[in-house]
Amino acid sequence: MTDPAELLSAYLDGELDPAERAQVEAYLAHAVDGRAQLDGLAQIRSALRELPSLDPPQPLVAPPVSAVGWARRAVPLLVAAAAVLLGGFLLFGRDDSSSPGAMDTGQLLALHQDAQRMMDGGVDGAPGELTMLADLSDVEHMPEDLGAGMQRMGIYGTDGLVQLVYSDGAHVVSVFEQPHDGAAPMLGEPMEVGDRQAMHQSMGGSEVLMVAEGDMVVTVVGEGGLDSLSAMAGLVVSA
Amino acid sequence: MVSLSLPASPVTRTDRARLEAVPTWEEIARDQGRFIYTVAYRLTGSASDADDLVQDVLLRVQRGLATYTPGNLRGWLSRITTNAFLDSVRRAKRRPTDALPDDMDRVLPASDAADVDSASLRLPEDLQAALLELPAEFRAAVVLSDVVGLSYQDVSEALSIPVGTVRSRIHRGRSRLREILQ
Repeated sequence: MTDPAELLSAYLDGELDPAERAQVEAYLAHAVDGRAQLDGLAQIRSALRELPSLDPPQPLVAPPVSAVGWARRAVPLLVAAAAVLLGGFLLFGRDDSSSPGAMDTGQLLALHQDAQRMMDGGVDGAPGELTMLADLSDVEHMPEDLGAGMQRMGIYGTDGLVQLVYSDGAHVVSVFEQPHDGAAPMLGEPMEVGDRQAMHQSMGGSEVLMVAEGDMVVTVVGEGGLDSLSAMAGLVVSA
Repeated sequence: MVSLSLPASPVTRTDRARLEAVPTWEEIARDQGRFIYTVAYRLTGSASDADDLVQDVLLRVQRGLATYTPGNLRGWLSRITTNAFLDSVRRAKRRPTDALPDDMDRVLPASDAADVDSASLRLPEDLQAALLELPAEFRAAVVLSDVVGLSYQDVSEALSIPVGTVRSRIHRGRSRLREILQ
């Protein structure tokens, strides 16, 4: 049975069922300081309710329109792709600093491992050359958790790439979002996530799952096994 | 001639959802800016942190408007604000708040009975300073309940925690505020 003293706030708020209410009223009738506790809590509640509203120091302004973001970033990627193709090179899989979105799965894995080091060491910073994103308007999918205790810990990005980092305190899962034009080719074993086409690879003890989602590629990297990763990927693309 | 008939029965949540149009971003900024900023300030305790949080909230609002179901705009906005706040706290810590969620006694022991000096409660800045001493998850529950005015069920949905946990966090939060302000 719950200690009736622990129910005093819910009693004040009218949030108890009849049996609990009777329990609290019996407590109040007999406990020497029961009424004083209740009055003290009521004073705090009143004071909180009476805290004044505050005016923002400046008027709120509209954030940038999200659709513009991907387009703005896609243009340099397309230009870079055209330039590389004209030069007779394949864009995909190269470490091309002029098109940072075109990262191959190895580079995504390295960013994931950076995120693991950050989480394990409790250090500030961001994976690789990424920075913490202040403007989230371009992030298409950003669920707050992925189930299984995986909570979102940070959102990082650079041109053409967003990395969301999740942790349950022990393991880390990274979710990458890239515009399709700037993403690495989808390689590996074909599979489906929901009704979406996906590719799976095992690399360096991690599972890498790439899912085609509209004009984007969502890549989920983690160590918890393909089934849990697939469930998390499904949750991300449907968010 | 077109006549309007009002429902004879009490308006249900579903009815309200049908009757209330989805607001535009501009309407939210104009009509709810003060509300969002106040919740953000109560959670963060500083003008600059509240400003940063409000910017994060506005982006989330913009993204979320397409899926917003009319009915409880302030409940929705306060949910977004507290979740953005808790995200920022988690980012700052870089680790999950492993001591907070379930082990209430260790984090915030229940207080003994004692009268609070009511004079101290007349100073909003004292109460705001005391709020900042609460762990973030407790502060979020207390702010949603006592500043925003949400029911325990609505707080439970906003924070994705069971109602029993809401009840405990609000009680422990208020009790701790009493202790601090004595």
